[in-house]
Amino acid sequence: MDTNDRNILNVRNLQVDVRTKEGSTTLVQDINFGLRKGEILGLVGESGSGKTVTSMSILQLHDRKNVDIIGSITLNGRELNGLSNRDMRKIRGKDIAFIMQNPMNAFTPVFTIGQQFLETIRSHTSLNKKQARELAMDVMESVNLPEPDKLLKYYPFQLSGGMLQRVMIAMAACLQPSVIIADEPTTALDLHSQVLVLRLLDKIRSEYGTSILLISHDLGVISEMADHVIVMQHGKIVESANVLEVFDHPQHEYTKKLLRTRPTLYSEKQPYTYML
Amino acid sequence: MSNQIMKKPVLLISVIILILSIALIGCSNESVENKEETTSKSENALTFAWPRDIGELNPHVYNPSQLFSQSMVYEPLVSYGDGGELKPHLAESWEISPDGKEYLFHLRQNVKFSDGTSFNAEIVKKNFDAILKNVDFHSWLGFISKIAQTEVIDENTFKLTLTEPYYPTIQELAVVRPVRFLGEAGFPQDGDTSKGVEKPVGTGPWVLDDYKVDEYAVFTRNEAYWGELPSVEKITVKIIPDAETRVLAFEKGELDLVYGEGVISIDSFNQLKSTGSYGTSISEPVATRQLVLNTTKEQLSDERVRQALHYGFDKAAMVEGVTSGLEEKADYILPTNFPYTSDIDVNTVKYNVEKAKQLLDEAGWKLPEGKSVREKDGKPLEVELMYNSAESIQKTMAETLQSEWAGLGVKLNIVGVELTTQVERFKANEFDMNFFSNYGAPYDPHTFVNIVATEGFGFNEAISAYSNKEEILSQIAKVTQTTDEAERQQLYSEILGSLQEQGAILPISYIKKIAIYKKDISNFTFPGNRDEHPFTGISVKE
Amino acid sequence: MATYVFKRIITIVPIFLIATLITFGMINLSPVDPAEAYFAAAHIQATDEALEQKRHEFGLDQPLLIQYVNTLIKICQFDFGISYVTNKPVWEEISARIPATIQLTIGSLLIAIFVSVPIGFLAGIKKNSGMDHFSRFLSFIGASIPSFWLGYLFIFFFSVKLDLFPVEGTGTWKHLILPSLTLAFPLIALYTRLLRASILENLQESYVLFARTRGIHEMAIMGKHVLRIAISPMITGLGMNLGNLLTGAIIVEAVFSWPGFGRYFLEAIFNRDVPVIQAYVLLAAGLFLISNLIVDLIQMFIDPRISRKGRQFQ
Repeated sequence: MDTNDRNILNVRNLQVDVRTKEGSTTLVQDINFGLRKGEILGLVGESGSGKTVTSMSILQLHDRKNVDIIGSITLNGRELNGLSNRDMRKIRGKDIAFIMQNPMNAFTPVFTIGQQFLETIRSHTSLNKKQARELAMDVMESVNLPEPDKLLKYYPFQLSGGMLQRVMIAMAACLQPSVIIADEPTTALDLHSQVLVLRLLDKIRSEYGTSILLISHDLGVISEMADHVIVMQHGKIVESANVLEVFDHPQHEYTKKLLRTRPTLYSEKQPYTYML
Repeated sequence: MSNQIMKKPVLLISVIILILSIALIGCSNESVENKEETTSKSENALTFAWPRDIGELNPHVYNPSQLFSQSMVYEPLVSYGDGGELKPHLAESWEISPDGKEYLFHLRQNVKFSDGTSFNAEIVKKNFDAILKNVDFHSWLGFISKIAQTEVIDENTFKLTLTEPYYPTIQELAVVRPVRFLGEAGFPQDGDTSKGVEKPVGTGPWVLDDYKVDEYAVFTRNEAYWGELPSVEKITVKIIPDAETRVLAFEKGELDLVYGEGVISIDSFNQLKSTGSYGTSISEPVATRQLVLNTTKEQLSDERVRQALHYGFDKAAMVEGVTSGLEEKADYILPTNFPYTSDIDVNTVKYNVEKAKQLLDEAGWKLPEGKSVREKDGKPLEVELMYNSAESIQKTMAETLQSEWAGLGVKLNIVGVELTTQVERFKANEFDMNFFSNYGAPYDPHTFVNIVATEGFGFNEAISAYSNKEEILSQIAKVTQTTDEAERQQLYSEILGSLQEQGAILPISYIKKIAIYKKDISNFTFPGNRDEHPFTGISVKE
Repeated sequence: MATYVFKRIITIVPIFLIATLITFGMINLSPVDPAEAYFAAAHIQATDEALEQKRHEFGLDQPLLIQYVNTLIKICQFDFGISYVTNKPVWEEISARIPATIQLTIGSLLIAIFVSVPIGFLAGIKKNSGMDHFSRFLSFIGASIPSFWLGYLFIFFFSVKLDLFPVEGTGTWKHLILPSLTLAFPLIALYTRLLRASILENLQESYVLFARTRGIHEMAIMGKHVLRIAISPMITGLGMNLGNLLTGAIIVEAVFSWPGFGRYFLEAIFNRDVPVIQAYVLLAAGLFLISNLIVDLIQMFIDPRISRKGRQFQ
């Protein structure tokens, strides 16, 4: 259904080509999807399917010399594809936030969480240090992070992966972006932390109305969180449907294969066991 | 916690760097302002470079005090001029007793030390006594160990008594150290100058004005000097240990004069000379570069072999080639401008390969078929030449000899050693051939012949195969004792002639000093005394 | 953190002790007889009695252990004996020359840092740019040209021909530039490339990407985040070279007539001045230890991972 005008994020006919020594290779093509307000869109695929390329293209974080992005990417009606880096910088972290897979490596090891948090805030606002700090602590409190003022003083290596991820989410949510792109947010975490992280994402979505592009190869996570699901394979979208449809009635062979081979994660859920 | 500092390590490091930089700049600025000013104010000044720090200005010590600087401040009783002329200096005249043991000196009157105190017989005696406190230390200088007594006869008369006649005494009094005179204020409480002096008080034409160890020394002229006041008012000695840097400093104009032996490379000297923008001088011979052959070694025991080696290389070409004309081919083991050396009757050896080969054949060293090295009784004619590895001239000459003598069928192995090793091996007679050069003025010829006679120095053992060795040694013992001038001359002629004829001491070249200076320097003269400074009479055009 | 510093300082002591032991051992194992060396340096022919007397004066007739302990006690008081050549206390001679060497060392370190960091940084973030090629060229020169030749070259061009600086000696900051530059050159050659490689490595790291996604200015990412981390190996390297610089600027000191103790050491070797040589070796050991400590401390400031225990907060 064409709900373009109500979409916060719209990706139309996205194609990404990269120039190599041999010539030009297409990484992803015919990518079409939209993100409504408050919606969680799950993006599923194995490594190399083009998930990361897609998310990086939205952020326009490609190598401008060798990579070409063709197509339209609009945020709240504004065309992002082709924007200068300067303009994109204002959007990144503020209108579109990103959550990385491995929180341990995402933070710069030699600065404290607080320094990096404040850095992000102050890059996009004109708040002074004190105000930024208060804002950060507020956000952290509202997402139930314990002892925010102590937390901010820690260095990344002093915190667990789960805690770092939650802080990262707080950071992402802090400036109330329209879209949060979460790239494999639970993959590197233990089960308990995964639950906390997912709950947090959900909370943000419901409280702030943020749209979330949830990228994962973990079908359990997708089934828990997503409203709508896109399945990617070899740079193309092979299936796009709402979550129940995808899991109950997968259309594409690849989707079926994925569903077959996933390990069971949640005991409450009925595992789908398809015989090969 | 120190988290504050932790959070701002960039700040901390920047602060550290800032402090270091300021300290650096601050430290260095202090004395320069003054130095810059004074050099530009007085035009009548001269800047000179020396490889080593001038050392302590003490007339009675040796290394590391530098000879030239000692000679600027302290003066002798007698001075040594060109050709060995002994002139009155602090002593106006002297008388020697007929038995040759008593020396009476009439001191120059109205001479003052740089601090205004008088120069008289008392202070002369005090200096001699200080030297005699350490006789062993100074016994290398012949007459010192022969001193029996020092006496003050009256204010201006001083008497020196020896245990035996020793004619070189007057000549030896001209040396730069140790027999020069320190003023009263310079003596430490116990009168022992070997530990140091209180102040460098001398009678000489220069006084030390400013001094920074390893960097520079500034001398100003002694306005109260008894003799001819130097035309130049100030001499700055910059300590520059590296030869190339000296050349660069001179080229830039930071130096007015470069002087000495081996202070700059021959190439640099010739290159600077060829520009035509500077004045250059090369001195008369100051010493002879010699080759000493150890006659105790079988290959060298036969005089014919030694002669053959002398005939067997093109000396003129080698000297010209290796020293680029800076040194001169030597025909005598001592330069002829010393006392008693001008008339030695020896056979001058002219390059003659055929004769060399003939001599070797006669001596029984024959060249076997198909071989390149001569043999006698199955033994090859192989010898080793030891040279000072730090001296490039010695090295190049050794290489030249190696190739020239190969043409004769002589295998020469060359080995470079450190100076200390060279000296040790020479003393221990552990060598075949060695380079040597004599001390020069004012030490020769008597010091040289003494060295030759001294056991454990190297020569005495090396000439063992001489048929008349004993006779030579007794002549050497006699020559310093005889009071008969004519006999002395005759003895020297015989000694030096005999030493040279029998071939164990081979003269190669005459070493000379060089000087190069800016065009506004005039009246540059080399001192007669090899160790003295070259500033007598020098002037700077203003 | 304080405990860490304390621990590091403490470890210097045993290492230094070992250094004294080794030096003492080497001096005693060498064939050089200090009494003979003394007379040789003074150019005196020594009689056997004089040698015996000197040996007694030097305490050489006592058992080795006692000699070692005495030496140690003296070292703690900075008494390194008397120079054979000048008869003055060795410590006096060396300490008079230390400031000059330190000046030269600091000068060259500063030049090395202020040249290497910008060039290496720019070469790293803009790979294959003009700056990158320039840094490659610089490294090639710095690595292949021996320092004395470089020194002469600098003097010839900048001093004789262009008259920008004096040829040699000390005095103003101008005198310091050429020798510091000469001494710094091999360091610059090494560290520009090192920094460049380190930066290139770091550019691949996730934190760079994450910072970009947060919308941080590219220059801030490079200059703050990447540089902070990438500079670490360079600092370690410089620290190790600090010891070298302090003790080994001999060639540069000779070419530029810089009155440091490297030059002095050279003369001492030639003169067989044993007490000076001994003192120098110990001094070198001490300086190396101290400079390593300083480097470790700086590392601690820059990289908090070193001094803290991780995972304090789950």
